[in-house]
Amino acid sequence: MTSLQRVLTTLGFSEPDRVPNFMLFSMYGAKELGMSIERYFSDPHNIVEAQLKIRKKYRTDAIYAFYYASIETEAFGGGTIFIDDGPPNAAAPFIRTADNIEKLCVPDFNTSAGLQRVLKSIKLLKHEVGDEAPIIGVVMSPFSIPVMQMGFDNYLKLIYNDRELFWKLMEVNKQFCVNWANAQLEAGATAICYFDPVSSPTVISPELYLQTGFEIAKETISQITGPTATHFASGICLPIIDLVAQTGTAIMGAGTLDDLKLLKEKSYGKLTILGNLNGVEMTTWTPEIASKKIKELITVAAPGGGFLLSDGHGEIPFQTSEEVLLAISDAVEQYGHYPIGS
Amino acid sequence: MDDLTLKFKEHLIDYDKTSSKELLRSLFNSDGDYTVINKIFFDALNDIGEEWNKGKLSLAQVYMSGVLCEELINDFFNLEDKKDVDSNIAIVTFSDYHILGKKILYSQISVCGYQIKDFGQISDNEKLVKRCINERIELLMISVLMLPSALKIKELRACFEREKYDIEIIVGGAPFVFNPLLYKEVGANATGKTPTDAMRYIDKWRENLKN
Repeated sequence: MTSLQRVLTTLGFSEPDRVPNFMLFSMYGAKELGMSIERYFSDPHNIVEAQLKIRKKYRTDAIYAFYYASIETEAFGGGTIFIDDGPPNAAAPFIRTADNIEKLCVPDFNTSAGLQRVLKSIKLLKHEVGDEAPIIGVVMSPFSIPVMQMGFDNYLKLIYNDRELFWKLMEVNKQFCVNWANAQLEAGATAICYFDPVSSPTVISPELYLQTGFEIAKETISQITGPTATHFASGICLPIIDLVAQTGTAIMGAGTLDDLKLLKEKSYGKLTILGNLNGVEMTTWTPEIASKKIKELITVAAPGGGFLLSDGHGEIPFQTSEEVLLAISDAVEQYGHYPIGS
Repeated sequence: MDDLTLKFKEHLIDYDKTSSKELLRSLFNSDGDYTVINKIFFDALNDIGEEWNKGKLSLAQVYMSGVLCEELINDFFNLEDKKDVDSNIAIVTFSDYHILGKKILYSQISVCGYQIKDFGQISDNEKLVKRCINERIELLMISVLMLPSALKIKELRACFEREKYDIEIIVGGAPFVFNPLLYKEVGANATGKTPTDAMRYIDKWRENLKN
């Protein structure tokens, strides 16, 4: 089976040859190539080289075209702060007043240097891998990107205090998100990961999600011309699983604190589960602990298909050692062949 | 919890300023006695923190409860600007730029009567150490969101040790939730998930200082 066939089989709730290894590497590519994170993301060829190297080394079943979250807010005029050993952070918020929202326009990704680099990476990766493995593009959901646009505290206040202005912001963000998602699919991405941490019950109540993030997800995902996965970046998702299934997404990222057994029971047949290794703890694991964790995870979540093994946050931490990652890959090979436990 | 405090808690969670103001007005006596209201705020926020800890409330509900509490306190007592507060306790967002956790903690424990200094966001070890020494901070609460920021606390502790400056460090934020032993690895004295955890630690620390 090719990686793509393996993934499609599990998405169909059948058992492929083995559990797909969906460890997602973004900034980690800089480590693999021995360069700074800022330099790594400055050239699309670096991402291509690193993703191909990582896939071969760690025997993963996906190519991850994600750079960093604030590459999208750069298109709106925002900045990015690079650090030596972690994900790039959004710089100071650029939406500070109601007038900023009233005057906000949908950015054209064609004029954004950062987004053009992402598209170039995807095109080059598609040329390299063809249909052998899925290429995953990423978008920040219209509902979650405002954390970077205006700061988390001010955004929560907007949602609670000025719903009319909130919906105006959502209109701009929705259009941008759809345009950007479809551009990546056109460039060669197989599927889009819809990053939506604010929708998680960790961040907002299910009642508020129903009024806001859920409606936005339904509208946005319906206009994305390819399959999507919805990820909550470590946030829990069990309380809203039935609603997420109604958004049209095919895959749901499980947070580390989610009860995976219960999640699998409730989602089977509706949503494929992606997750949910603890990325923070992973940085302290030994290969033996890693192997044990993988065996436990596969035993609980893999039977019947509908499962992609990954971490709970959406990217492998920079501090994770090579030997632990190799141990994870070895364990997937050792314990992940179907039927599980054979 | 008495019915009144329970109702107040529900109003906070629902971000209902009108109902919570009416409830407080019925309790507030003409002397402006802070004590009764302080207890209601403390008990309600304590319970909100516990429910957040159990996964029953969201971050938004916790944060907006704190925002509402601050508004109510300002409406009733017209508190002075806290920039010049005299305290040996400070709070800081360290190394990363996500200030929501610090804001939740600062507003809720301030509302409950604890005087603490807000150091904002500081990335530089030397700058933070210098400020703590100059302002005679004895207990530092650090909030982080990103794992690399959490790991940098180890270097911060080393800087304090080089200066031979004794300081209690309590840490909080997502990395410490996902790895409950991480606080020890980075040289912190304790970790907490809720504002009540912080308040309990402060009370215990003060008690130990007296003895």
